[in-house]
Amino acid sequence: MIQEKDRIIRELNDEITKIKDIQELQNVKAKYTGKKGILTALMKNISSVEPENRKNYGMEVNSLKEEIENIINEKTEEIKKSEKEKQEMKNWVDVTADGAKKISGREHLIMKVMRESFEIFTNLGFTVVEGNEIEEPWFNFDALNTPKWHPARDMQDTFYIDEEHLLRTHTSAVQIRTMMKHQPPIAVVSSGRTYRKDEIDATHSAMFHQFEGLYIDKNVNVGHLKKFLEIYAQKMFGSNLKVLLRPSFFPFVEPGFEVDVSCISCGGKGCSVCKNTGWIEVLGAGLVHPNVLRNVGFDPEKWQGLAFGIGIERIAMLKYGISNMRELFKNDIRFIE
Amino acid sequence: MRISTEWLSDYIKTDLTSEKIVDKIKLHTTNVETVEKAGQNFKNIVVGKIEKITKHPDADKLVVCDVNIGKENVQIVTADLSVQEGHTVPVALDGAVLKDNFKIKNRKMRGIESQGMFCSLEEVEVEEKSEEVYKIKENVEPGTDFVEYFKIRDEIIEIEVFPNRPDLLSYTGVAKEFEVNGIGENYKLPEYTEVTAEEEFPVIIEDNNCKRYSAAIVKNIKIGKTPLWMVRRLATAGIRSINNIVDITNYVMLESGHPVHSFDLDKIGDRIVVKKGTKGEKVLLLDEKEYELNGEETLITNGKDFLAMGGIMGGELSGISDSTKNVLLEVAYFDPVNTRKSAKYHKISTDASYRFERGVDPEDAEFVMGRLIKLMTEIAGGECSNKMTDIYPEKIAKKEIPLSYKYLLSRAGTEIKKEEAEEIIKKFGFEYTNQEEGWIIKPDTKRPDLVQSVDMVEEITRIFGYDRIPAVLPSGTTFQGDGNNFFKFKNKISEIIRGNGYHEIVSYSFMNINNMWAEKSEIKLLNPLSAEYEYLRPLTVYGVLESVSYNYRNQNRDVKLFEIAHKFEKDENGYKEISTIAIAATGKENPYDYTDKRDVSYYTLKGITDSIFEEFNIKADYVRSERKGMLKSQTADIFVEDKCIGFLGLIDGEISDKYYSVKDNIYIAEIDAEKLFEYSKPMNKENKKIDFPAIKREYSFMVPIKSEYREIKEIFLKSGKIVESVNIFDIYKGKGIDTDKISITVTATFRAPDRTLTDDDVNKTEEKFLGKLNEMGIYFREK
Repeated sequence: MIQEKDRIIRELNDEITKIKDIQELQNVKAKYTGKKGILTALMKNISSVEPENRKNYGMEVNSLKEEIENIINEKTEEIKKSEKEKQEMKNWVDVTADGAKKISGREHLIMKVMRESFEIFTNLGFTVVEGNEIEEPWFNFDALNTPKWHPARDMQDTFYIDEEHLLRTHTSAVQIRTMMKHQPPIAVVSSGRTYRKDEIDATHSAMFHQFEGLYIDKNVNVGHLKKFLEIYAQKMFGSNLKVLLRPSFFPFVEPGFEVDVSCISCGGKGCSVCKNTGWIEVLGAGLVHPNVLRNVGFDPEKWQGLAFGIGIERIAMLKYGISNMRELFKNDIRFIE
Repeated sequence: MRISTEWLSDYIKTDLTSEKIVDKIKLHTTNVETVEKAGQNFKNIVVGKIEKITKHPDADKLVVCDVNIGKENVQIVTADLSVQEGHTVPVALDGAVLKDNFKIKNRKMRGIESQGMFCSLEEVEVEEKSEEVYKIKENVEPGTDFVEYFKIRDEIIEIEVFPNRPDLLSYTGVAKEFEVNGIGENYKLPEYTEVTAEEEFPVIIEDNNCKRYSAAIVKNIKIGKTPLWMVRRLATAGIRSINNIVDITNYVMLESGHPVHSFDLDKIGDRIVVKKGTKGEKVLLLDEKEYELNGEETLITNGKDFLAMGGIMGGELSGISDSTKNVLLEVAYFDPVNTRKSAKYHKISTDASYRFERGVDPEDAEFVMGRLIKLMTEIAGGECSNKMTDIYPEKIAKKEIPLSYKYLLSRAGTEIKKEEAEEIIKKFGFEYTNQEEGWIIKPDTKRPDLVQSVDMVEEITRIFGYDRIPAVLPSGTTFQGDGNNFFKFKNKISEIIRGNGYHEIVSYSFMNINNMWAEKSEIKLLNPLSAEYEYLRPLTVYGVLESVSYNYRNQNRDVKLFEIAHKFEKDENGYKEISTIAIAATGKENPYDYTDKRDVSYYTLKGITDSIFEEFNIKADYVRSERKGMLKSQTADIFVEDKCIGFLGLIDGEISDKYYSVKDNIYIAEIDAEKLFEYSKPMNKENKKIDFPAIKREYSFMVPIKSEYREIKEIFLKSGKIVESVNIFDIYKGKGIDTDKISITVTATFRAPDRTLTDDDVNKTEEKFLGKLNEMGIYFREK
């Protein structure tokens, strides 16, 4: 009996080593443990065994069965594992290879600064208005207290289309259009393209963008202007910034200011960005000139205003460390990305 | 205005360093452009007297000079043969430092020792360029420190002068301002000869653009060199010395801010007549150019002959020359606007016209004339009766500006003590009277910018100090901020396009008309920078294409860009500008995704426009279109409610190559954002009933190539209420398909709002649309 058993196991092991897939293994399994298999035959033989040995015989067959099943199960595991490995090899990726990126387009920095500026001021209660780029001289100059032969017209070299039309030199014309349409109180912001006949270089562009604010109410003073601009500068550049108003001249405001913020690069200690002054000039502003209010039919005894104009390119260049304005208009993808 | 601090010290005393001065100017007055230091390192330059000149034994072009420098004599070898015995000259001795840190040492010149060098004005930075060694005119002891004596060391502060502050175009004006803003004190005018108004020379004013004309005569002047102190001061202003008479007029202009003119008395005849020019008349000015008059100019004449263009430039024939003996001095006031018109018309800008345009002081004739006479008699040896003809038909009076204290505070936004405000008014030196509510102020005629109360508010608050005004939010009206719907709409569109991998750009609104291969602009600038920027673009996409080209030419073949900006048109109602969305793309659809090999196509671009329309609930139709420069096979106009609002498609390869040097397909789209905004409406979700399950079926059709999917979709949707949607699963054209056919596979979704559909329901509907499709020659594709 024992010898029989060893032979069966040996044969099984011989057969199994050649097997590569589950199907073949199933066949072998059937040959040994199936209904017509070797073990069934052995079990059937029990009737020919002497009764006193039958119990022993039965136990031996059972233990043989167990042994066979173990061998087959082991082999099953082995095959499954190797098949999975094959599958994995098939699916193998280089986990360090570049991802298949789907990139999102970038916002143009001018537009980004413009949108951020709008957000700051709409949160303060201002309403966005838009204006045209082709403007009439009266709106661009005369109504803004800059009559035809005023030397201040030299401050802005203007592109003309004809006698009656020009490309706006500032967004301030929107102030006039707004005031002619709406009665005070007014709080509006506007932004867009403006044009001046400047040769294109690192700090000038014949086309640039302005951001304009106008606030008209019964009691408006320099302190209010300072606060609005302080909020703007701090939201745009950082909460520690200080704002400095300095005397300047724009015909449509009085008093007029040039507005500096403490240097965003050195914080005011003095560096190359601020030319060691600790301050950077960022925008122009002032209280609306009574003549401007009169020009649109508002009574300057009753209404007062403040206005400011921000160079979007200037803000973008400071904020994103751009030293040459031309980069903003080249639209070079290497720069954009 | 360039301010020499050395020169300024004639009118005001200050102990402040230039850094402190700059700070105060910036806080209280104006911008400071530059601060230049002159001659700070100069040393060991002395005044020397040349006592003897001998020839150099070995060099014809050199001479050897024995020079007295006070305690001793030195030997200087020079190549400048203009020096003569008896000349007094600046001598840079051994160890001297000159311009650009140039150091002087004893050295041998062709074998002869030279113990230093004679200097020209260029070497001591007084002139830009000098021809020869400077000969000192003044009587100065040999050995005197040249730099000290002639005050060569200086600091020059250049300030920005706003158009409303002509007073700052003068030293006296600047000095007064500096006294007010706290830089210095003891402001005083320079000394001048007292003149009396008495007829000295006949003057007649016939043109009332000349408000005042004063004339005086200085006789027997000697034209000659100008003293070095004046040469140097003029040089700091960038004015080159001509001769003593011309230099004095320039000097007095810089001092007083009032441009003056000197005529050669012997060339001008017997009277001055100020009158308008005659149209067409030609005149010769000092710049040796001829100008044809427009008839509006104010001319200075002698009744017959032209002498000068008033306030702008003198005439060539009446001016000072080397032979001038007697001089007629003019101090006049010309109308700012008329001066500006004439100067602009003739494209002339002079120091004089610049000042008259901004407004000079009409009331300072006595001072200005007196100062001219003093300098001319002292420096040029002239003689004067100290009388001047003064024609001043209508006195230009000081303005009276009421300023209420309450108004001042309400504008300033801080508490300025009444006494402090009054102190500031006093500092300005303006006449004023106290009123119950405030003051009535009469500013000097030197300040034409001060007209109304608010002007005085600025003067007082800037001197008070803007830094002392606290920042406070207004407490008046509460405003409700509004982002403006159209602005938000455009931002949303930008977001959608960016989401598709397109970068937002900003390109110039103007361009070269030769690059407009489709629509051409009718809007031309009168004064463009160049032909490249001459016309306003009639299509925004032109700008985007330029940027595509720029990137492509810089080795970037995959470019996807867009811009939302105005395009410009002109029609019978005038100029129109329309906000448009412009998109252009070439190369890979997903350049950073190497697993996606697709190129940009008509369909990828249409995907973007479709998503925009869906976002804003707009029903748009695409209609095949023949557009100039575009390929009909892949181009469509976009219609909404029967109006064309834009287009989309493929540019003809010839155009892409010719205009943009792009050899790949470029797809473009341009859509009118304003019309789009008009048609947009909020999504209505009421009919979106998704309570019951849907049945989806897939159909593969063979479609004749000229049929349009639009029609197929329509047939599906109209064949029954249960057709919820039809979507393309695949479009195929090519191998295995006849060239006049295209294979389209669609997925149709069927759903009823009120029950679960059965296959039977769907079959009935299916029959309907299949029948209709068959009529169009559309059949199932055989597998």
